Amino acid sequence: MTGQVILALGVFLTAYVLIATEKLPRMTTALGGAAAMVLIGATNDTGMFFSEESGIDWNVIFLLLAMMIIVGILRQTGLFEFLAIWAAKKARGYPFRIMVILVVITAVLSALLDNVTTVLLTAPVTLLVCERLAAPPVPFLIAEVMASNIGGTATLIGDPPNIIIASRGGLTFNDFIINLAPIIAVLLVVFIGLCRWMFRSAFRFHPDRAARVMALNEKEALGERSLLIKSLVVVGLVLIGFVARPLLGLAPSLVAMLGAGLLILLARLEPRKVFGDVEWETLLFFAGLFIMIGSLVNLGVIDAVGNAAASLIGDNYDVAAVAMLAGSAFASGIIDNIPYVATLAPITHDLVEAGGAAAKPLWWALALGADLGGNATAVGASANVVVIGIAKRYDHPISFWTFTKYGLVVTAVTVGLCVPYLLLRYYLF
Amino acid sequence: MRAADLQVALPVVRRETNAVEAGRLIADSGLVGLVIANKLGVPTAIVSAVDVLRLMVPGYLLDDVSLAAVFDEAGAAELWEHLAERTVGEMLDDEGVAVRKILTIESDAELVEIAARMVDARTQIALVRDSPRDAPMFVTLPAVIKTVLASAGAPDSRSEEQ
Repeated sequence: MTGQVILALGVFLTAYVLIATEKLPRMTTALGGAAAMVLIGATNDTGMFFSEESGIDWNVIFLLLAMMIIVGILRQTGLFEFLAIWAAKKARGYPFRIMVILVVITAVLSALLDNVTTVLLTAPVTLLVCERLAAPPVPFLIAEVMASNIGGTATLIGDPPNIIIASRGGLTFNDFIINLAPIIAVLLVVFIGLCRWMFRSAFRFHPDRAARVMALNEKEALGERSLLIKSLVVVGLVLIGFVARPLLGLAPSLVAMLGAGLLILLARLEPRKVFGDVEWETLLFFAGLFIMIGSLVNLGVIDAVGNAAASLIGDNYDVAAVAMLAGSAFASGIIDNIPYVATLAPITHDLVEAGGAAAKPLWWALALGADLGGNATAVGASANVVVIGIAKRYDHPISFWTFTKYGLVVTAVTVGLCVPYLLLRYYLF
Repeated sequence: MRAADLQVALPVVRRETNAVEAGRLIADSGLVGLVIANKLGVPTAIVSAVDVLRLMVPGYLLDDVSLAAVFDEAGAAELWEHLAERTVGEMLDDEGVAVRKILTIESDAELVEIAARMVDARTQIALVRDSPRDAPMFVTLPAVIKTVLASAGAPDSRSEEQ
């Protein structure tokens, strides 16, 4: 091991610790780590900006950017608020029914949007409905963020780790739907059952309070109708573009950027509203991460780890898939799943290249473990941190342990159910 | 015209002042902002009237303004029931509220200096230095603008109507 490799590993591990402990803003850490990699000669401008193997993954960056723009415009339509209140009224003000509908809406939305955006959209309307019902909002908020983490696992665009996995693994939108959506549908049903048990004391029905929910007028939440129609048409076209990749041959990032461009043209909103939801810090965080990991690729560290893992695994890809699932779930409960997956993706790529079809389910094990593992603790996923922040701001604090005691149960059950799914679907028959 | 000529006494609130009392000061006196004093009663900060209104509106409606439209009249009325439970201190702790350190100006500051300093500090109220500690005096934005207009020879709207 050369001095340069030792230095690069030191930079990488230090950045990981700083990201996990949040001692510095994660963007600062990732860009600082990237700068350190440049200074020690582990990468250069060509490597960072133009290399497919060790550079910034522009497909990921531009897919995220485009989806942020589309969601930023779509949220101005009031569609999400309309749906949530309409659903609460359909439930006739019964708290558990409302939770079920909110969980399903959140999970479906989360499959199409990123998880943080989803919970930012659903949390205010949840607080409103709970206030009307005189129901405790904490169980509802926890259920929604967990539903968001579960639902986001189903698609390529549902969770940032999936975008990284798709790009590194050359996997399509349809691959995710075919391989992950079925188990996520099952997990969602099981999760609803868990909610009934975990939050059983939160479902007291008060007819007078239910009447207050029924008095809400959801149609008033809808903004300009023409913007709603334009947005829905563009979102529909983008989804068709994702699904029709085999026919069109367009990468998801291109489809999303074309959709975002079209929606900007049609919506004619001021730039502040168009780009208001773009999280530039998140995009720079991704760029910094890719540069750090690309540096390890340049120095041969990722190849060495991949080769060691391949020789350890041999032909036992079923065991490897279960280990990947469990290990990823454990790691994602402790550290942010984005840097974790960004690190594991090139290693998994090497394993799948070496193992062929038998090794391909490792991608699904990585996605399931990393995404579902985010539910385990209060800091396991960005969406958890966001919801806990919102709850605190409105005097409904959720402690680390309150979240984690539910999170561990949900993670154990959901990840546990993924084990037979992976083995039965890919290895035993 | 100097600060000493424009100065007026204003009510001062503290962290523990509730939203009803704070709102009443604005509603009854037409104030553009409120002066906040520390534990010793010394004016230290100001907040604008719109931030006091922010204290009265449930936070989730500020996070998602489109939700404010879904209430009927009775439902909206219920939202104001808990006003007395909210305090100025909560507003000061709210990251969304622009609490400004109070601007202090000399009592002999000329109108143009007062105007420039208030614009620079983006403040609606300035504390006049050397005013009595137990009866602090302030210069307010409407008074400054009114005096600027008078100095510019712009006719008073009331005199125009006459």
